[in-house]
Amino acid sequence: MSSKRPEIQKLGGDITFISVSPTAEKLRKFLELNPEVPADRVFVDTSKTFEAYKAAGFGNLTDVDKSTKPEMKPPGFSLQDWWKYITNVIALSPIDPNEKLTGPPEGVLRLGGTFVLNGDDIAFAWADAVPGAHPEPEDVVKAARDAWGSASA
Amino acid sequence: MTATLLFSTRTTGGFVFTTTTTTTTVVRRSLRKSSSSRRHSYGIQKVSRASASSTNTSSGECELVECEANFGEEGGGVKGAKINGKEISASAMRRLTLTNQFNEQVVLPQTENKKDVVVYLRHLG
Repeated sequence: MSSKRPEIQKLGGDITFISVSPTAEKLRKFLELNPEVPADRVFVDTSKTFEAYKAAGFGNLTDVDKSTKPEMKPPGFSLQDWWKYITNVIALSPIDPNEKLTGPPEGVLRLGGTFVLNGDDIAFAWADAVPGAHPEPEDVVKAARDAWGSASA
Repeated sequence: MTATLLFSTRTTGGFVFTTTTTTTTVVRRSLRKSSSSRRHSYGIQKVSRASASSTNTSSGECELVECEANFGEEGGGVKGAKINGKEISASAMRRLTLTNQFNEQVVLPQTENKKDVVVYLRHLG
């Protein structure tokens, strides 16, 4: 989705990314590994209760109805990307080093989604059904174009 | 009477809701399945916020999922969304407090003209 930022900006808007992380340090590590990601547009929910995610109504991976088979998109990693991922996954994981684990960390289970906001309206909303089931970036841009285009007319 | 409708389609991956405003009195359709495209769409007029006991689970079968439109008072209101039974408003989202890379608590940044795309990722790693 970050590749669509120029198009979003051309429409007069911008993108903000939110992720789950118990510390800002993990976000810094992520940005170091992904310099193409705009650092000033990425934030993390460090709350133990995932308040930002709850505010958006997103569920947990454990809520997924196994009878459905949502389409999961592969990450499209190159060999180098996979290496980077494997060697850094622990450093980036949403696990608080000071916390004793009694099961899968909830941060790993959190699902995401996408919104297009137009003033005080929500013009587009998407809840990922499973990890990797993102909206098509082009659909998001189209929703933004439709909403913002008419708003600025 | 102006009603704001929510048109929802579910692709095989998740649920997407887009809103539009139209002039009609009552629009209430049940979820219909299009077997050819596996897309589903419906719209619900806002009657009252408590009118529907519908829930939207991001993982349920389409037949079991109802995504509610509760947007748009007469004369033009604010459009929101309902996800997993929770009413979401843009203004609430704009008040989100997050942490930046410098470990500072900041309010969700937004453009001056309030045209914002907010992407919730899963975890970083």
